[in-house]
Amino acid sequence: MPDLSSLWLTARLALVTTFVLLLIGTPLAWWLAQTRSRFKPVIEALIALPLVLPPTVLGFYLLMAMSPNAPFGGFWLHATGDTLSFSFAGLVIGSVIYSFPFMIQPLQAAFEGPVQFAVRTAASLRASRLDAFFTVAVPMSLRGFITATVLSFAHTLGEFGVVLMVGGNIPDRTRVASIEIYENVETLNYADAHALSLTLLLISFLTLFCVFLFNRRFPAHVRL
Amino acid sequence: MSDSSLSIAISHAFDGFELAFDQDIPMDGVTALFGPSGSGKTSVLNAIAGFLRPRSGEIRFGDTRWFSETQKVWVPPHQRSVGTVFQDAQLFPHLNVRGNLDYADRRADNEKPGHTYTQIVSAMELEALLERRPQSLSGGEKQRVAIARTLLTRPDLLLLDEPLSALDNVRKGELLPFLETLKSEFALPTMYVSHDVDEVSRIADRVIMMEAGKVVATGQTDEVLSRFGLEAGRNPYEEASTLTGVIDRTEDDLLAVKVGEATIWLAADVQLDPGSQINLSIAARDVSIALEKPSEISIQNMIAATVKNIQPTKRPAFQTVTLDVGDQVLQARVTRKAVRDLALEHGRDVFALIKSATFHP
Repeated sequence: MPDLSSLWLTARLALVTTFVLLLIGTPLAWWLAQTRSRFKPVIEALIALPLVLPPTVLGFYLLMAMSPNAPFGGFWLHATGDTLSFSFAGLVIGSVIYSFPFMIQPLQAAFEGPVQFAVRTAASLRASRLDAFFTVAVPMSLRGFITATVLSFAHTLGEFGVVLMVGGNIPDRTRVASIEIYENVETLNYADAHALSLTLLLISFLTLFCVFLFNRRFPAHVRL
Repeated sequence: MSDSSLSIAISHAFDGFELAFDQDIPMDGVTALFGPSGSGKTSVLNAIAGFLRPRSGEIRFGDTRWFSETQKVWVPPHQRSVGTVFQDAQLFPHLNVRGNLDYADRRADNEKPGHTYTQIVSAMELEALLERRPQSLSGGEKQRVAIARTLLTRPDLLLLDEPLSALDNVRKGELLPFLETLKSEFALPTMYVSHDVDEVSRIADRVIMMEAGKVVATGQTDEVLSRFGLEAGRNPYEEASTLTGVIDRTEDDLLAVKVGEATIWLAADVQLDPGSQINLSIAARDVSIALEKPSEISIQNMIAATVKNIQPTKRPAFQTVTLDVGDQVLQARVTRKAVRDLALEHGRDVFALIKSATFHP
């Protein structure tokens, strides 16, 4: 029987990461969908970077930044009394950056075009910007929100390289499921590796299946 | 508000041209902003509504300043007491008709005297549509909902941005009476953007005519339209050609006009002397093309013609075929598929079938 604590840690990491991404990603995606700023392409490229960068590269730079000797890592140590590297908080920061495009891109696509016109219409009907966002943009972009949330969650579940670089392999603290599978294989414990792999496979499939089922049952008001 | 005015003095740079608009518009009746597409009329409307911030100038509604570049005043769109009806209705797809109407009603200043929810719904005849989804409505029904929704914001000024342009002729005819109801029953000061002479002459009290970002004429509707020789049925901004002919005779309440060798028949409401010259205005969409002279067809007007050239239109599905008719030119708007199927090309002899023509002496 494999150790379930790694699965629980993985789920917690994915949930916290997705939540943080929703909070940061929604305003950023909204800004990207309507801005004409000349910095837009730079920001879009930066956000898409984790899609192509080897996780080890990302993890390496994060590890450097989180070191107590670096300004950011030092500040964190000073503020919280704990190091960022090899901690759950460090994992969350790494995962947020790693899964960023999976939250931003579907949201941005959902917010563009028809939603922008609808928000303008809402303003003509006396809705303030915030009012229009919650009463028009969000309901019209429901599919985008669901896709973005589920993709971010599923992508974080499968994270390996960044976690290994930033968090190492500390049971209950940074040993997530994907790392435990690697550990099991290293120690020739194939049975446990199998059980965990299959569990991850099923969870990932079911999550994605639910999204596609939802998209089928509720035809979009917006394209994705 | 009826004794106040809307003062606009703005300039703004666009890709192609400079918009310069300086007008005091009396706030009663319907003022049409009239001109070809791209002349800047919608930009003026957007500046009034607050969707476009002009580069410089000032917009004042009565005593309220909505925009002033020098005094750094900018009232956001939702705080201006204007209501805009957009070209394509812009109903919220996630709400049904009632939901769309309630959206406006809930945010309106209900203390203001004016029409009730029920009165507005019944004026636009929406009782039977309240539970429908916007996606299931026809174009005309969508616009009626959009108008009612805008009325429910209890605006002091109504902006209509080509509300009929997305509709076909039948739907246009169905919606026009509602616009007239709007005018007679609600009596809101209205700015009406259009490039259609028929609409403007039916609805507008005064006209501001625009071209390439500038105002070229203002005045009472009849006066401006007649100054430019614009009458209902003649649309300067639609593809049309003018054929000159000579009146031959009157028969069965139809006027026979000789255009070169051919005779064109049209309904005659006026008496015109045989032998006098007449100009026929023929919309390109009212002209079809046949390779052989069709028989047993209701269209009476057929002219032998030769294809001169074929050009694309704004809509990819259509092309404009220019035909030589004697020494005159006639344009036909046909689908690209038809051009291909009939193998139309320069020099080809065809017959132009004319569905309708209007004349102006």
